[in-house]
Amino acid sequence: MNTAYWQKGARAMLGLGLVSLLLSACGGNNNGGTASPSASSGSAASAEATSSAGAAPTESTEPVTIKIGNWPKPNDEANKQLFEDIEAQMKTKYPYVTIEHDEWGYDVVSFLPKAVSGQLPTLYDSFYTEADKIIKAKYSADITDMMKKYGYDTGINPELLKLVERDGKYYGLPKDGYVIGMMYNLNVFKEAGLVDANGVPQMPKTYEELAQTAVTIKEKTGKAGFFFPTKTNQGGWMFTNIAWSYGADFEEQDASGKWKAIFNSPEAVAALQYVKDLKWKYDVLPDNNLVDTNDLLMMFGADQVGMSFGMYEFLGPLVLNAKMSKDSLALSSMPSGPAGKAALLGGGLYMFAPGSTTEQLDAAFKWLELRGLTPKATPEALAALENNLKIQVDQGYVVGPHGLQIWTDPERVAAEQEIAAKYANVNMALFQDYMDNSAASMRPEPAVNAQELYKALDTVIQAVLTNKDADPQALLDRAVQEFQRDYLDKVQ
Amino acid sequence: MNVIPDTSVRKPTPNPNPIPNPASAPSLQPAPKPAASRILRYLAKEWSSWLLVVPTIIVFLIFAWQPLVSGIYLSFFRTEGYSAVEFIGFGNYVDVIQNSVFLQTLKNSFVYVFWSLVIGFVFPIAVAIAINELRRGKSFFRFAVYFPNMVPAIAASMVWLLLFQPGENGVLNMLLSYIGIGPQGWLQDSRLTIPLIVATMTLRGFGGTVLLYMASLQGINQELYEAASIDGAGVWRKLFRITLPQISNIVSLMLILQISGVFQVFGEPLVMTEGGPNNASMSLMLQSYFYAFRYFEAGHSMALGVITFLILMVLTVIYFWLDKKFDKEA
Repeated sequence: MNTAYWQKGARAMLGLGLVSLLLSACGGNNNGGTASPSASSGSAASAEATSSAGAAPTESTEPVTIKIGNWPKPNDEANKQLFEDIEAQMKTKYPYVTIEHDEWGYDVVSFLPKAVSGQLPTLYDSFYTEADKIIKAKYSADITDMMKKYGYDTGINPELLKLVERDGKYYGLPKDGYVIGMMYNLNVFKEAGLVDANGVPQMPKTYEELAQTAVTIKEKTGKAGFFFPTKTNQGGWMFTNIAWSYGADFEEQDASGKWKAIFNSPEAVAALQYVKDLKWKYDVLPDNNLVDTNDLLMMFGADQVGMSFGMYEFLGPLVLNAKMSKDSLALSSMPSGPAGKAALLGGGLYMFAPGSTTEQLDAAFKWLELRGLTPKATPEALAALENNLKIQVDQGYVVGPHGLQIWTDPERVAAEQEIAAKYANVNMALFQDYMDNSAASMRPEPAVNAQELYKALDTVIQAVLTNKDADPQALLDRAVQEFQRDYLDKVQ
Repeated sequence: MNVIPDTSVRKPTPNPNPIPNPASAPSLQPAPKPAASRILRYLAKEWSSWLLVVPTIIVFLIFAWQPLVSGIYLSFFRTEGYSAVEFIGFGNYVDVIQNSVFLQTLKNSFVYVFWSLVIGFVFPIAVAIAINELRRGKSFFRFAVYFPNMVPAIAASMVWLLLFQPGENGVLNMLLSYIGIGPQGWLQDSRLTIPLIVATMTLRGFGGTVLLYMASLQGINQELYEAASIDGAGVWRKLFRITLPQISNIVSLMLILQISGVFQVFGEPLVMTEGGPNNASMSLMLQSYFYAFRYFEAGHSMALGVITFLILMVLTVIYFWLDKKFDKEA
């Protein structure tokens, strides 16, 4: 009797123990939403200091909780303070809104797990190049009503809005815009004797000049004159610029709405031949031909490369991660090819977690207003901009030059430029050409399956850079045929 | 979780043995009863044993079987992100197989396996036998060959990348230049890419295999060697007549594990070449990874995964069939 009781008790204990162990193991798993380092440039953070608030229309004040992504990390004290200040303002102005912090910033690898598990912050950052697949996968909320309510639908450059619009609905909010230009490492240029008395580098005006300048750099310094990426779809991404300025295009839609791949034209072949010549005729590329922007930032930051395609948003990581001096960098617009200049559009977006309620979206837009991202030149917005620039100057970033203007309101653009000029901390002559001449040659991404197109071009570029005997025409013919069959034929 | 049954079903069977004995359970069953009540009775009797198994089963369900099944399920749907939208039968499979790079990735995966057998299969067996024959320093070498296993795969790949740097400044190219050989393209030479990746995988991973072979070698009865010596057998004879046949079970197990492991290679090419140059090192699993994580096309990714799974199934079945056949003939 006694034994039986003991036995029963022991079994029960064992069972309970196992069950609780199991439950705690499951529970522990829920904390999986760890922050990962942000892929975005350091310039993303901005801040706000409010003056008196504009009167908000009467709205539902039911309690609502939103999660703000890309919250500054503890070691980024200045920005953290600013975010906390805005949070405090939110609390006084909209006491029904609770704000949660998420340090996760957009990152290609961690995005998917985060999205699939429903852990995306209500407001998160992303990039133009990623927008298409995110919208296709329905990982961003439809924010059309909010865009209209807060005046973004008319306040933002329509070219940029097109990138986030599908069938008349908006799925993202452009927060900045850049076009691709030429980026110069002044340390290497000085070493090669290519800098004038004012410290301005010799900026090539044509692709032929680009090659010659690169040859001079290689001869004088032994370093690679020019960097061209070839993997992670970035080779194709950058190649579009050259191809366009040689007069080529990638996709065209005929009268019946069918898409056709056309990047095996003589112009496209000439552009690819140019890339091939950079390796085999001029020999100005780095020895390693399987590289992407990460390698660029390392090599450029270590003064191993003289020039590269680049854009305003590369400057932040070069200063922050590669420890380059802000005074060693310069930008210009793209060189001209036989068909003139062409430069691809890029930049950052805000996107909103799918499944967010109207109230959550509204609260997130109120947060953006307090941060200063609004179409109108309100005192709030300008103060926010000014605070942001102050921090950037403190942290040694390049301040003064601007990317593309995303706002349509000329008053706001002028006010913004005035503030930027006040805080400028670099020789503006180094960026003048980029700011004056880039926007005119702006081109949006190819319309259909852009990432897959870049991938196809990546392999072609790898082929011409690793094989001296590769035939550009044959490679492009094959790529066109495959891209047509794999993707364009399937477009409805 | 509902394994704790209604206690009313339990009958106070006097059992002098406090340890439940599963083997004795069937013999205690009286005349055949309806299946449901038999299962209930069985559970009632053995519930504590089952409770011990439950955690493992749950972990397997959540982390192994559920993803497997939902992966196969998703592969038949048009997907938006990871949600199934519309049943499209074999649509994803057709897309994936018709894709222009499919044949090349399929071929590449077999080439990976081929080179891993050429470079990496005999090597650990030879090393294990050599170490086993050592009189001194056995434990040092045992540690030394296993040591690279402790380096994380990605870190090792990054170091190899530096060694394989093309151009005159690459480490290996500098070494080659001392003996008068010009700079090589290494990973960027599409003929060398796969063999080089396999070589780095082998060097990093063969230590674990060596340990397994050594354990098996230790188990060989020494009397066999003594008898062979008395009969006048030399070293080679002993190797081929005793050592290898004695460890043949583990050799054939490692063969099948290596084939299925290498066929699914993806981490090393992802880090070292991204599948390049010109898709020369793209494998099925790497392509599947790109579908899922680069283009967010779960359906395509899963379909490719299932295809890989089926190919491995077929290979394994063929292998076991051959194995059986040879066993009978021997």
